[in-house]
Amino acid sequence: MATIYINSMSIIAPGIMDRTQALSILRGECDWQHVPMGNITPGLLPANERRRTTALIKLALKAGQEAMLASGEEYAVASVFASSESDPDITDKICKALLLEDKPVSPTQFHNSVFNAAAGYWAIAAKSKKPSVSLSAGDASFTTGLLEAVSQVIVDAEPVLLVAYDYPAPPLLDAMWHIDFPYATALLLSSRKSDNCLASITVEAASDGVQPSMCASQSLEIMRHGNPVARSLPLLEAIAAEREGTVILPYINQQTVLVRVWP
Amino acid sequence: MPIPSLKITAASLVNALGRGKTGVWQNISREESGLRQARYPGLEFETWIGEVEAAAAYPLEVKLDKFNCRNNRLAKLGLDSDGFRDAVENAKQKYGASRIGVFMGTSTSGIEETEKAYRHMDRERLPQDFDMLHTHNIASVQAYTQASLGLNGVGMTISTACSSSAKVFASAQRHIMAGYCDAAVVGGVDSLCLTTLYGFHSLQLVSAQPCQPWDQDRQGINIGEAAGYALLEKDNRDAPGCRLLGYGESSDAYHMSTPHPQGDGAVLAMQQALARAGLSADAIGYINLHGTATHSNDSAEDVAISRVFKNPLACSSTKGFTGHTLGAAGITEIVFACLALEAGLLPANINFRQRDPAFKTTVLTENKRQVIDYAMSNSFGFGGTNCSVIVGR
Repeated sequence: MATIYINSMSIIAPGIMDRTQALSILRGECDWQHVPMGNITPGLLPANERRRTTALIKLALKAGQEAMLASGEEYAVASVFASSESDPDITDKICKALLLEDKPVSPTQFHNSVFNAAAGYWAIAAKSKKPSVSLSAGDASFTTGLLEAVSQVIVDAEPVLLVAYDYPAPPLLDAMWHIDFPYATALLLSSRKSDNCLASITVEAASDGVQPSMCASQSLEIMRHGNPVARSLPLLEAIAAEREGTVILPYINQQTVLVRVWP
Repeated sequence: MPIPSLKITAASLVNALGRGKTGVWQNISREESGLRQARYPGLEFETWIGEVEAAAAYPLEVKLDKFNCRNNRLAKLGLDSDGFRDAVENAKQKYGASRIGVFMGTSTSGIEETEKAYRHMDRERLPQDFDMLHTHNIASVQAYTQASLGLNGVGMTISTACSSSAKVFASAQRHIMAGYCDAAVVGGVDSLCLTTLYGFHSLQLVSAQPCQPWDQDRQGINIGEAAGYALLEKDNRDAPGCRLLGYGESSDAYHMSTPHPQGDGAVLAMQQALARAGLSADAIGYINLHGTATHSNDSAEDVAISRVFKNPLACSSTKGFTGHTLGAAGITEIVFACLALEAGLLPANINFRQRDPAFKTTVLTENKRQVIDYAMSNSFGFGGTNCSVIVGR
């Protein structure tokens, strides 16, 4: 199993708006509290582009930006964007427009409706012409994004930014797919250990019949159930802890993925 | 940085040209288009579409009925064509069901079900029987394919607009190289829906006439629907079938719905595909163009090709046959490239009448008999996503 270095990490969620906050909550120095989230401004994106983005896109971009800023590395790296549902708010708006006379779908909303919209804006913001994959595997989207990012690092030996994110749906769709709060996380993975490196990992696919890990912190364990992407939290806790350990992440088909973590 | 090649040991196609590769290729050989004047519930402007009529009612397996939507019905049509299921059964015997990954591409998945649910809204509630997670969710087509084939290895749905089912070849290749699976089912499925019809219409990118890729008077796309699958295994040179030789991926970092005018991202994707295949540009005998027939796409792709390929070569867009099948365009056209290699027949760019004086590259105005060794397929999409794939005999 190839060793992958986690050179940076970020979380953006209610009550976690920057990296310092994220690390102290992940290390158990304080509890996570659900403080309603204000407007997010990913400063990296030019204002005229930012105006056209949605709350979900801003959330994803902010997580990516925090991780790259902390890494001290070039922003133009390959990327993997993972989300269960992408932008339910846009789906809602387009489906409502289709009910009106002449079906006035907004052109901006339509181009924002592509699942890879966040990745497209990220490429513009980061001025990155590098490859980018946007993927979904439902509730297992974070773990699936991690496998894709690790595969890329193994095959291409270049750094990869993984951004995973999900945003609550508006009322009509919320009845079909409910999540408690917005949550995004970003990891910078590499085959080279940087000065800011947080942890080393190996990732093994599909071990059967084992239960996924829970969070060590009780408050984070509550958070883990509130958003599909928050299933990443046991791994992020282990990375922040700077101790050796093993994390089991839930994957597709009731299977799991085993991540070995060490400082 | 050449990579080990993979063998494409089976493939299936369903699109406006027919069900199964034989029927589809027969129509290409006769230069007969599958496009028809559009009739689709709720569509109130004039255009042409590439429809698969059977997708309206084809039944899913009873135990998988929760996945029932136009997109997964189209997926099942693809799985039931060209002996694809038998090929996967053989692969299961060889590798085991947990060692075969499933990598699917789609742009809109089963969103037609969500559109329907909104139409049947009652007192601010969507109907109780609407199952968003198994139909509309992007992961649905991968979960359905995996369940239908009885596979339980790694998997994902890639959704990068019109490059989705070209990029599945790249991700599958990486997962095999990293050891996460031994073989892979890759595919793409996209189905007609009002979201894409009216969405592209709002951007003034839909043609009221049959689409005319590369033509001076091109007026935009015709939307099509399609399913396609391929089975990838580690290369055994003696086995029959085409080989996946290389892929290249890039981002434009330019605009959400307009390609970079000089085709910067497309150039990178093509160059990287050549480098991974270990081939020079001169080795490529045919390019299946992205060629959507929008003004900006065709002109950016023309510039990009002229930057990578210094000598003239055979090119065509097959979207005049099938329409633009969006998230299924990659798999459809990569399998077309394989069929062109196997048959020694390069498809015409139908509906082409007049050369754009600004263009440097020319397209095949009729089918051409020519035996070639290597072909490239281009797929580009909204969000500035680019993917080129090279196949060889």
